[in-house]
Amino acid sequence: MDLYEFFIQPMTYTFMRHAMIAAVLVGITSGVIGSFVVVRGMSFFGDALAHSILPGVAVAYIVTGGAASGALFLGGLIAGIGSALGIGWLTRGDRLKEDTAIGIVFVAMFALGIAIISSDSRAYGRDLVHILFGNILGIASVDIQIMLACSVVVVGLILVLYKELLLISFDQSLARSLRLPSEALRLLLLVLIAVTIVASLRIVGIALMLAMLITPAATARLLANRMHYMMLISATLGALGGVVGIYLSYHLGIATGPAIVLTITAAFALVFAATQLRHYLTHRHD
Amino acid sequence: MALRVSDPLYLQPDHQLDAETCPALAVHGITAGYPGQRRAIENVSFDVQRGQHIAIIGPNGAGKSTLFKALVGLIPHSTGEISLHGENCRTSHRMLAYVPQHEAIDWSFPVTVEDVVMMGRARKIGWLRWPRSSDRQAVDAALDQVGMGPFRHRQIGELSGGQKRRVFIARALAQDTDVLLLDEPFSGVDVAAEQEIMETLDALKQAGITILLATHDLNAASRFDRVLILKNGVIAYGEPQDVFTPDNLRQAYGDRVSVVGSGSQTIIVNDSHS
Repeated sequence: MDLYEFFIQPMTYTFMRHAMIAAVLVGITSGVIGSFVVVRGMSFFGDALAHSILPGVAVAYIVTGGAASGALFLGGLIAGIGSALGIGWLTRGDRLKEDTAIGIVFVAMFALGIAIISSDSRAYGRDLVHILFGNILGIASVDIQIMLACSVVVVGLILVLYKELLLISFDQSLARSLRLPSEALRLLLLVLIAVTIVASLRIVGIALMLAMLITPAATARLLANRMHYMMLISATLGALGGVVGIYLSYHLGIATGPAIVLTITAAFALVFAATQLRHYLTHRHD
Repeated sequence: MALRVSDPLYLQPDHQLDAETCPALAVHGITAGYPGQRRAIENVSFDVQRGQHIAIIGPNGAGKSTLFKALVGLIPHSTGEISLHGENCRTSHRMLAYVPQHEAIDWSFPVTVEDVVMMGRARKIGWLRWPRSSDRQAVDAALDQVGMGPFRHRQIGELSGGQKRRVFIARALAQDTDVLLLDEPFSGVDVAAEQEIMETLDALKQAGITILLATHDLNAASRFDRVLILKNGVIAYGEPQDVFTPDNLRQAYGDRVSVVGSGSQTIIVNDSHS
């Protein structure tokens, strides 16, 4: 196989070009916001939120009788933001421990979503798999437009509110004594995570979404000692992981979502091993 | 001390005389927290002159943190007045900076010393803006004042206990204030770090920075200009040798300390605060 066959030939298909653009957008966006998910220790929340969008997506599926992009996106977004704000409200002022609140809302929403889909045997038999694990064959131009809009909104707001988001993530007590609206900023962050998840649905699906949020960011954290470097490295790794994963998926004939996830996980494993080795080499004489 | 842009002397040259004669911080009849509860404070009054360093001592639950939080406006006070350099600050507390205890900080967080100090500038920088050169200068000046300039590019987890405390003091200075409230900076640090923090405080004294510091360490407190013994109200306030009397200490700590007065000396035994 020559270089042309490997790199260029797959791109002669429209669906492959769409998939590639989508994967890069999703990689950048989830890499940026995923950095906050990682430093704030919100992995469980991210996973829960991804599963919580299912009822919204399911209702959109049943009502429109298939995969209408706008409806799916809107349904998922409503369920995602609803769950994010619901969890945020339940955990305000230590009413409920956060992981308890997340656990309750997450599984209930996921069960509701499965219940709704199971009312339609066609959707239950075939489309559920696409929702859970992604389906790059279904990415239309309108999906790309929605993803692009989401990426611009999420990355744009994070850049504009960077110092405030960094501050509330690092030190709540300073945020309070400077009179920053910490609670509103925290809810905004939850909503932006929900938007990112819904925008990434087509590529990796609900079940694999968490990896896009945390694996590139966790890798970047091993390499960076400042938050903005971490976000830059994480976004780059996310985008590269998407590109490499899609090529592997095409040439090996495996599903795209898992191919991307395994690619970024391999990158994490390499970096982790390298940093452990460096630590061992610099400290072996201690 | 060099004039800062936020300094009342600078803003209001007409009131120069007032500002110089006014205490840096005047607290009159502050009541905060729920009456009768532990940690509540009632009718607390005291004045602090510019550049003075005050140690606030008292048993656990005496309301030291409550007092600090009321002073910076993190919790409301039901009665009383607080003024800074002669200006009532019922609504505006911008010139007091609070350095809380830091058990909750994630020291592996990807921020450098410089990044942490810049966080103190967040309000000055304002929404939707990035730091300007004046903010970077303020950060440089604050780092120099606590002697942490050479460590500016270190990730915060790589610092010693005393250095971490100094970085948070620098962050408070970067808020363009000359009155700092330090909550238990000596807790959980070793003797060397305590010495290091004391030296930093001495340097700040030279710069005219007023400091209120809550501590359990009576030894350290005796090295301050004034000591305030707090137990839900002010038990005593004045110079260390006048305040550390057997009566005052018994009143504050009850059975938790044994105080022996012998001539001009006061011997305090067993200050258990766990």
